[in-house]
Amino acid sequence: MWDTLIVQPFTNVLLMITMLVKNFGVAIILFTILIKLITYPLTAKQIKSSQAMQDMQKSPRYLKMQEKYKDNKEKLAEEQMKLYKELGVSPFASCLPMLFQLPIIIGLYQSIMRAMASTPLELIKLERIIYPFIDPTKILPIQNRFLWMDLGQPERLMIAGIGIPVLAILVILSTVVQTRVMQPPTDAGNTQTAAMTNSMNMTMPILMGVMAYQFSAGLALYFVVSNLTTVAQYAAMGKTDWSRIFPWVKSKPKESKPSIVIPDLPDEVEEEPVIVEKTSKPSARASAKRQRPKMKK
Amino acid sequence: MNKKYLRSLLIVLLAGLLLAGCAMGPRAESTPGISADKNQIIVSYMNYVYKVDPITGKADWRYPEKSNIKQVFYAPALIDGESIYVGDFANDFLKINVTGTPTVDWTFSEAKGWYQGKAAKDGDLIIAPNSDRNVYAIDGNNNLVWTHRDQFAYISEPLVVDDMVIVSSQDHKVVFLKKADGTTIREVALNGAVIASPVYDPATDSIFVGTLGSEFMRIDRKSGEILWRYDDDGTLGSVWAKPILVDGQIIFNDKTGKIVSLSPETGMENWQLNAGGSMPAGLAFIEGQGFVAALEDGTITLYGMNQQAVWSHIISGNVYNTPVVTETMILIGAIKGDNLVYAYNFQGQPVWTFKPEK
Repeated sequence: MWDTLIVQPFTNVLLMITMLVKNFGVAIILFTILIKLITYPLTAKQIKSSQAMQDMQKSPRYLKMQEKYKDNKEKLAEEQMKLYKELGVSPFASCLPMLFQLPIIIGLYQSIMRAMASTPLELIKLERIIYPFIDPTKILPIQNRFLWMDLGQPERLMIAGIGIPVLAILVILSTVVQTRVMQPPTDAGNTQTAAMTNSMNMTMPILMGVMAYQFSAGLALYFVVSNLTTVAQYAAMGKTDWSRIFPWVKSKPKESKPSIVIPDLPDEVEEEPVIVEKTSKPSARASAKRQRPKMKK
Repeated sequence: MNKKYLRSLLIVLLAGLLLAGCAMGPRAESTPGISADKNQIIVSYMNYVYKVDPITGKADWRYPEKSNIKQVFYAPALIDGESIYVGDFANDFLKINVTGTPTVDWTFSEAKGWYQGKAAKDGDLIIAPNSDRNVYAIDGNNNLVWTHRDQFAYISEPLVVDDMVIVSSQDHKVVFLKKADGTTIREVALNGAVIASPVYDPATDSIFVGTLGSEFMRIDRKSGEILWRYDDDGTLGSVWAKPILVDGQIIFNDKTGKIVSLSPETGMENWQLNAGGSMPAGLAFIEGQGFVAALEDGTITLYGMNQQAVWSHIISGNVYNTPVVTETMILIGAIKGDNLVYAYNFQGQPVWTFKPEK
């Protein structure tokens, strides 16, 4: 099932691109970009949901709520849930698109590994999943050579007799850039979250780098292209804060309209429960539109 | 719990899932490499090389004693008296003394790829194909004599005839090299990748080889001329295994299970039969008995030279390697089955099975 629906079509598309460009390294790059473009709507949704959460968390009402119920976690959670419901924001909305993308990313990886069949047994298995309109004798086995790399082996660039893992280094650097670009601004007051984020920022690049160092160069190439494409997608949406990566750069992400607008309740009515005008769950956009005239300046 | 903390936790969980998903993907997957002489059977599989007793089917020893996750063996060992030569997937080629406890005499570590094919030996020269696109020639003292470099991985056993080394190439060709220095004498272009080793026929001074391009041919050794090409009117499947030369016939099989006998001289078809299933493994000849065919699904059949099945058995597992015939038995390597090696006598009775201890 998994193979038929995901790995087989991916592998065949990858092979077709290879036949077209006659270079497996270029095919991996193009195929990764293609998959990233196809999954772009999911990525965009994830970015927007994440932005909505950030906007909400920066709002005075939310901050007041945090302050007011700082000693009553249960009440705080209850109020937060009410606010989420009112604004139609889900704390997990940014994770759902990521969940949908997960099988695609795993399938992409597996199709690359499968196409790089290097033993006779792997070649037999690869030949079996090739669609009838592709002539396997013309394409198999795939030439794994790309620049100085053997895509089927861990990559090392020999300089003065020393094998330098260039791709693994690029994977680490591009993962650092990607995590920093994607990372939302940390709440300075929340040391636990900051510590968690910092530890993730350290762990992920190292983990990916170790994988790239040990696994085949084809996989490392995919990691690099995937990371850079993600950064490019963020940049295209104007969500990249380059100063986080290059401190000397002054640019901030393009100021966009907040995805949701949260009305700050007047002090006297703060104790009152939030009045939800519509019984059905409003979308974030609808809610924002409805509330905008009441916004405090 | 703090939402940001929860979200970070979820991201770590997703990353873990992603990495686990990647790790579950196909890795280097292969089949047991079996080689044998009258005194010993050597099986290369995963992290060990085993010496198996031909009488009992029990492992006398395994090398290394403790597994190294990076050291994986699939290439059949070259048995040379008290030594074996075997390469691994950690880019090392070893000479191991097998009298008593195995000891490594030397290790050749200049390759940058995997050893998948069996090495060949001619006098003091050991010729080892490697997936780093090189063929290495090493002398008995571990000195590199020459290297032949090409564009595709070399994975099949080289053939040495007089002053020539003949190697199948996945780059749709057969390469003829000078044994003395590894320089190219000629390359014969073919229609598909050549996975299996060629067979040499001294009577016609020709080599015979099949390709994944669904063809089988005779190539003159001295001139490199293709003397005839057989494709069964376009119905032949891809050829993955080495042919056998028996009683003035060249016999081979394609992956669809078609077994064909041709005249080596003319390429005219003598007969053909269908073994009845997918058959990547090649045929093994038994003197005075016929030939053994092993289907992928584990069906093992001995055919007489009159093409009639003498006996047939089904073993547990999938067979991708050509059965190995010793003086007294047939050895079949299988994967995904109850055992790794199955031994039958020529009458088709099971002798023993071998399953490595964990």
